[in-house]
Amino acid sequence: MSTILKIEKLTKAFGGLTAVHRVDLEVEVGEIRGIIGPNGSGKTTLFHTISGIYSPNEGSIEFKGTKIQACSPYIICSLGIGRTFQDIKLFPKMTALENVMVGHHRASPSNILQTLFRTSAFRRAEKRAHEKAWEMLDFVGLASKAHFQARHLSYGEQKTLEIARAMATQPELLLLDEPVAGMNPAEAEVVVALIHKINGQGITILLVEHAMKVLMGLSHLVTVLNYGEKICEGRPQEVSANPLVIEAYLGWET
Amino acid sequence: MEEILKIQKKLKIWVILGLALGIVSLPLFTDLYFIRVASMIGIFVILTVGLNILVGYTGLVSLGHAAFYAIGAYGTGILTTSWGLSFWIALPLSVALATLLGILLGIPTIKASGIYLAVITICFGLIVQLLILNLDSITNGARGIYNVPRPSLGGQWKFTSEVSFFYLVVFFVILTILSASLIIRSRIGRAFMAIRENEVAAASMGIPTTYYKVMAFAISSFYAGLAGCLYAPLMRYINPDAFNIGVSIDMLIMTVIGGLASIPGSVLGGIAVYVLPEYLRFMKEYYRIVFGVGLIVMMIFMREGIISIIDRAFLGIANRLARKSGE
Repeated sequence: MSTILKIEKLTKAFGGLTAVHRVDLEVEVGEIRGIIGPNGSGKTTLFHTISGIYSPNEGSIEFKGTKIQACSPYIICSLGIGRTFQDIKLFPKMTALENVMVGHHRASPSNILQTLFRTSAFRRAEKRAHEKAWEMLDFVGLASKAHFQARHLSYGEQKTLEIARAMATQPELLLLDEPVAGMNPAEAEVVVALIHKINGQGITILLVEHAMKVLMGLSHLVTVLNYGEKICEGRPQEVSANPLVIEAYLGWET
Repeated sequence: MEEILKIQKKLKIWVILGLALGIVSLPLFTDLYFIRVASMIGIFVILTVGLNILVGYTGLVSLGHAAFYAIGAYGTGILTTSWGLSFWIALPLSVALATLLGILLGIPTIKASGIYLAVITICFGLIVQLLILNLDSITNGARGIYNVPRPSLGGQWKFTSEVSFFYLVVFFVILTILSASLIIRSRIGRAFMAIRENEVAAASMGIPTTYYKVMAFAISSFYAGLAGCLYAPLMRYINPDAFNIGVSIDMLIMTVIGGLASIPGSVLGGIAVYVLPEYLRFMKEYYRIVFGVGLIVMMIFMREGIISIIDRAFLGIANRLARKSGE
């Protein structure tokens, strides 16, 4: 096994508030790593920092041996880190198909001259982007909604479409920020199966989720954050029995 | 559903063909004054379609686009008079300069958007207008440039008459609509829209957002420059007053009234905003008020623009046709 993501002493502060403080994290290829912590513990900040939306104050992020902490989001995406968002960030007035095709942007290059003259290279790239997008919609079970605008899909479908769009970027590491939050149990079950299927393709997954049963069931290892610091790491059973974790969540034993 | 969409598409093609025929045969029915107005409308259509790529598709505001229009017009005006160059050399040079400045104005979008970008573009428009006014030795200042020649293709092929120049404008309008549609229906168009819809998500999906925002500025200033290149020989006289902030505002109004993110909408917007005041002239100085009230009412009740009414009508007719053929 080799390391795909190596984070060292990562710190991200907003003014006086340190959202992530000296966090170390090492993720193996093919792993599903769960990240838990109470609200405001820095999980989403960690995701935003890995994907380049925030740049860290200190520390380093290494992806497949390349330091990426100073890179723009689009470069990080093209290196092979895809992501979804906790608060759905789809392109609401574009169709489901177009949303996924945007995910395929890097993989189907064409310049403005090729675009204007509809050269064979352009048509080939466009055809491939179409096919790939259909494939992804099929993969997540949304093919029947391809021509609907994203804003007209149900909440659960929107969350799933985010996964399809992220998968279209052809990631090796996929960051899922609360993929089943707000879903009913039936919908959640479908997404859990989907995450297994994605992991089955050899894609490493970082998972933030408040639904403990889902997270503990999926994760190989779990990392616990509290007030921006890593307080514990281990197998799901070990973590859920750890007194520090119980204290962070329930506030026992002061 | 599929059936209705197919009928709708057929309907649209027939309407477009009909309109095209009408426009081409326009000189048979109307007087020279109206042909001149029609050429001017064509120029505004080019401006509006170009601005829509920036405002409607990419979601960036510009209140300084008259500057690029001015650069196209002054470029052509100066190069064809004092430099004595052919229109066909002046045109690419002026359009290239407008595009280059468009790229320059696009660079602040790395940091600024929304209201801040609006202010930056206003300032840009003012600077260009002031430069034109004060670079007396090149632009002839407030006196403007006279006797801009109409182009010719050599031999008998001249665009000196109002009618032949109108056809030249129509040619460029068609080129504009066609090229803009091709850009929009592509990976580039999807990148523009993704940026408009959610910039953070667009960047996280691998789109270099700065690159595409600058490109949107470049493309829309390309079209504005082209419109200017046609304006100068149409009017044969240009002065700085024709490129003030009012013109930038008119362009934005046309784009929004016609329908954001719709190329046919832009065509309608360009026509509506130029034609309506012509017919409201009988109200004298009050026409601006009536026009303004009309715009406000439209923005409240029909935010999707004129194109939304027509789209609905098309859908209605297509529905009826589909039902008839089904019976």
